[in-house]
Amino acid sequence: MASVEFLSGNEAVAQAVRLARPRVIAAYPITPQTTVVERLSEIVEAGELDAQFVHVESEHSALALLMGSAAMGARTFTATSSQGLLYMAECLYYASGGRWPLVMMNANRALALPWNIYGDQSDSLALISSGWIQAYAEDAQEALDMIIQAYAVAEDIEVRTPVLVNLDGFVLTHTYEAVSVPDQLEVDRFLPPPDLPEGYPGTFSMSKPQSLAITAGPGDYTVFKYQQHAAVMHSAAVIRSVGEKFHQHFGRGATGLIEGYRSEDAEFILITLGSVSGTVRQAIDELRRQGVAVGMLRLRYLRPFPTEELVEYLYSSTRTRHVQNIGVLEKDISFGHQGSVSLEVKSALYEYASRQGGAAVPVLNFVAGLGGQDISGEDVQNIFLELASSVNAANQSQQTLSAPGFSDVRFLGLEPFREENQHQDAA
Amino acid sequence: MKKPEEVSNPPCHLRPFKRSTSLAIWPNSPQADSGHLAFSNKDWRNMWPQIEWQACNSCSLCLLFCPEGAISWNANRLPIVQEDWCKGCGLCARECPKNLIAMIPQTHR
Ligand code: SF4
Ligand code: SF4
Repeated sequence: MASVEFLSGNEAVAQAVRLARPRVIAAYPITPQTTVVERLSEIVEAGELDAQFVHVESEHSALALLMGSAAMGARTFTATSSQGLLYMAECLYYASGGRWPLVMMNANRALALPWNIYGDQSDSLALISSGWIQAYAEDAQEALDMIIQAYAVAEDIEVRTPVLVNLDGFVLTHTYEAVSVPDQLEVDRFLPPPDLPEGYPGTFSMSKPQSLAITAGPGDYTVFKYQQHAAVMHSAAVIRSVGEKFHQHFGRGATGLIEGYRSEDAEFILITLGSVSGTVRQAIDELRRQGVAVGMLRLRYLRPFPTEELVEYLYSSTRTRHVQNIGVLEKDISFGHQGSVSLEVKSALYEYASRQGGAAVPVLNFVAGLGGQDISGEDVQNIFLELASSVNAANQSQQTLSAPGFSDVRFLGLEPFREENQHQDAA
Repeated sequence: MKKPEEVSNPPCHLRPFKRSTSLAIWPNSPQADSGHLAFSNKDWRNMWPQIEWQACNSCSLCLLFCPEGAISWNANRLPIVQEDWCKGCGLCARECPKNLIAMIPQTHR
């Protein structure tokens, strides 16, 4: 029987890992990830999990060690954050190219400089092209569920791609909520055994010695990279079917790569990811009471990018209202352009528009929560109101676009600075 | 247990990396069966170890030190070098206690 426990996001992840029974855990502590591996080291010490817990000297070593363990057919786990994730960067590409089914948790945290230990999504978004499947949890329950599902997805023979499960630093990793923790038997029934089967690609076999991590020349390299890309694209279907299977087993959880909230009849849709979605839900309920047709699409996975699902949500024939304006709210800025998630969304919409031959819905990019900046319910309501008001003010947004120093990206908390800037321009 | 002199050390084989235009039989990870060479080293090797057999006492040192496993025994337990595997590094020549191995330019063979 499942038990309901009062857990932080990190503790929920630790419980999920315990239930997935990895054989090897290697980690280096970094705020705000530390409590995950602290809890896991206690769990291993108490004999509740039969795993090798390796204290490595760096994040780079942690991931390198797990590649070796996975090559021996072991299920593995590690967790990191921010600078640690970037220090691992070389190994991230190595692991995805080697097609080892690793699972890692990342506590989303800002990147230096300036030094900052608080949450934002710059770290994982910087590595969006590293070949890992990227998931973003909204709450501790989803974090626990996503970790368990991540093993099923990563180890699927057609996928064989590592999965990065992201939790917003502090806001999710360190806040407590009631979490339903399944019992071991239930999870054992859901997941394959923690030892990869003999002959699983990318693993050593005594009967058929192989050289792993081989070289590939100019022509061959492309084929390997194409295969990798095809596997990540295919993983979307596996993520959905694993989600559905999870839902059958445990009776909860979203199954799509995107989750909508009051979006079917919304004219103004905010696309976002991670824990801020809770705040967005509340703001939507409040504005709905005032008669504004607002809704949310929450990106649960950024890789594979759910282009088809997004288009289905926005343009489905069953919609009762057309979408007028879209906002993308993210805790990240790709310097010199706009937020990374906004780029992803726009690319998907462009693809749809060029296929259908029409204009894409306008997208405004809201960059908020950088370095732990608080995003209040009022902030989100203001974002929706800006979405609603800019529909009839095409000229106005043109002006914003051309204003020197500011593209169409809205930085939360910089409104006073923008006004000052515009005054200077006028003068 | 076989007696040492009966242990065969079969020469390694060249086996080019299997390319296919069908993804179904393309390696599904960057990995390949061990014990095979995809490309021969003979085309880029500069030096070649020429072994003087007459004084050789089959001490095994050249065979054991060769980093490529390019040396094996012939039927008389004398060291022979595999054409495709030797990279011409000269370690065997350095290690032979009787100085029986001379590194000669590949082009002078
Ligand atoms: S030259 Fe080097 S590679 Fe060739 S047989 Fe001697 S030790 Fe081996
Ligand atoms: S090291 Fe010299 S003596 Fe020993 S087996 Fe090789 S060639 Fe013969």
